[in-house]
Amino acid sequence: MSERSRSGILVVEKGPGVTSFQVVAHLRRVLPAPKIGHGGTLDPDATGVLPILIGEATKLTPYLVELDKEYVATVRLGVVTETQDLGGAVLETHPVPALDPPAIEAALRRFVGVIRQVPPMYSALHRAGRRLYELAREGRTVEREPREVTVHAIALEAVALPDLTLRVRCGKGTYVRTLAADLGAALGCGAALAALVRTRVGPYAIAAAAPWSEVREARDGALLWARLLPLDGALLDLAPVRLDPAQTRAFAHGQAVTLAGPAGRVRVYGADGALLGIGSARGTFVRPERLLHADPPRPSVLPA
Amino acid sequence: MRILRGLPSFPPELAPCVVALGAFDGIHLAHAKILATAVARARDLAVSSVVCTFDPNPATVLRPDRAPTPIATLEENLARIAASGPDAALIIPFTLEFSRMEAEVFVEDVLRRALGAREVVVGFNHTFGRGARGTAMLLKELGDRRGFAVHVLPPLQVNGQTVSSSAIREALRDGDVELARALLGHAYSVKGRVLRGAGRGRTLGFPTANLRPDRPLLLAPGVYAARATWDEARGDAVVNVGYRPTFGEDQYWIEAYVFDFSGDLYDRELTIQFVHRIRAEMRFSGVEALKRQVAVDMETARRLLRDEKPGG
Repeated sequence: MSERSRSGILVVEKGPGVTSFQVVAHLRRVLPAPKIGHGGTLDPDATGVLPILIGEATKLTPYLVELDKEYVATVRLGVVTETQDLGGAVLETHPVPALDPPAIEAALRRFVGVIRQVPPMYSALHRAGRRLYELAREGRTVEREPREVTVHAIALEAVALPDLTLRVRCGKGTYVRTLAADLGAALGCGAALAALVRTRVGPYAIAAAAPWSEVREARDGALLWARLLPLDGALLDLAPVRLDPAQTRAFAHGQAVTLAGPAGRVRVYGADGALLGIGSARGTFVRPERLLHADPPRPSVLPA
Repeated sequence: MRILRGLPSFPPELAPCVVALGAFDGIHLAHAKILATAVARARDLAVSSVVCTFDPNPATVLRPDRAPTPIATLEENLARIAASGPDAALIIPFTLEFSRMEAEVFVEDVLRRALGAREVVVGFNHTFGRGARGTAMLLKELGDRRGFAVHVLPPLQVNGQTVSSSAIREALRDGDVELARALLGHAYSVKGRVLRGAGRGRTLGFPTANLRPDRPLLLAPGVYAARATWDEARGDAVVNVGYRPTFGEDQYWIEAYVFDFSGDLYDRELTIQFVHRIRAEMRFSGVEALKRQVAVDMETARRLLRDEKPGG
């Protein structure tokens, strides 16, 4: 099978000082795949899990951004910056009170659950056709609507004042920088994000990611192809359905098929076991929502 | 133990369960430990215990040219699995189509969704899923995330040797039935129906039962001390495995001379348990030399099996 037709997800551990897009640009040079994208921007200074979508996997972008993420954040207390991290101009400094873990944890609890966040001016959100960070660089501040985001859990991992280490598990659209700044406000001393590591995106953990140093050095696909993960892995939360040969043909041509079973979004497999795409099941119909033309079956080998 | 063939035959009432996962050919000591662990964990959790295995052996489908010869038949494996006391054995037909299932999908759709696995017990070297990407490590990781515990049993050593199906196959290919027995925890055995042979044994003065074996030959040709069982009876035997080079035939046969037995074994199903190896196959200059060697072999077999008593 030609390498051009390969699809999958390459989980990269992004290094500091490189943008998510630079990682993608490098891989576009190295891999012959026709389409390469990433599944959720990671700030240049942040490190950690950046899923790279290759080939047909790029069609999964909307599903990947939906996945929960986990971060380890270092929060510097007593400082308020323009960007909510230590990279921006310092606006205020405050003495840091002698906080004990129970007091910090009590403050953290207010940020768990469905919470409202005012997105930072330094963010990629659009306002009137322009990025907020473009406006911010011109020195402008605009009113932003608070957005609802979900924070599943925050664990206080370490206290070394003025720094706190937090492990945050959250849903899509959560700004950890803003969480840090809001926590600082709640504690009365202000805070900014000092360091951020994304330790997980959905099923993709940092432990299994290809280090950026390795990815950067790769001159051809050989090593990277070996690390390619199947598309299915990103979709395990969706219920699986299996089609018969006639249904497989119809679905692959974009037609709804009659099939009773689970409702909502489903992972759809063809009669030969290949992933056909994502369907939307309602009543007795499964309608194609996104069709994938994943790898043709390749011979499987057992290790000797 | 319920025997379930194919995933659709898995009854929902068996979920949740503890799953023992493996190819389980031969049911050696390490397999037995996996099975016992799963059954014990299921008891602790008060859920059912399910052995999830495949037929035919995945390697037979994935690399037919290098497929390992099975140690035991499915029926024999199932009988030994049953002895460990699980509630069910699920045999998943291993097809090319099934082999294309990604490891993550197998874990999520089969183990978690279909079987309702609460815990999974595997050997350290078990692999699964397309391209054998699924390892014990991946299984553990998925378990952490999808909410089930995974017990990975470490390599089991017997007399300084790691117990594995391939080590057993190698021992059998060398004719080392003693080592195979030590690793299996039971004697290697072959079953077969007794057919009418050329009647040569009878003319030589020692009538043998000629078995058409129920599985491909894995054991090195040669002469073995064995125990034979049929119906409700049993007896010690000297057994020749091989191609009968003296008579120039190339059909593989098992010929058993059962001591102190004068009845008729024709058409009976005989199980031969190989206990000791006596010698390699050899070619004789003539019938007299063969008769002399057979007499020596019989004596050796009797002695070896007597020393072994009352085992078996």
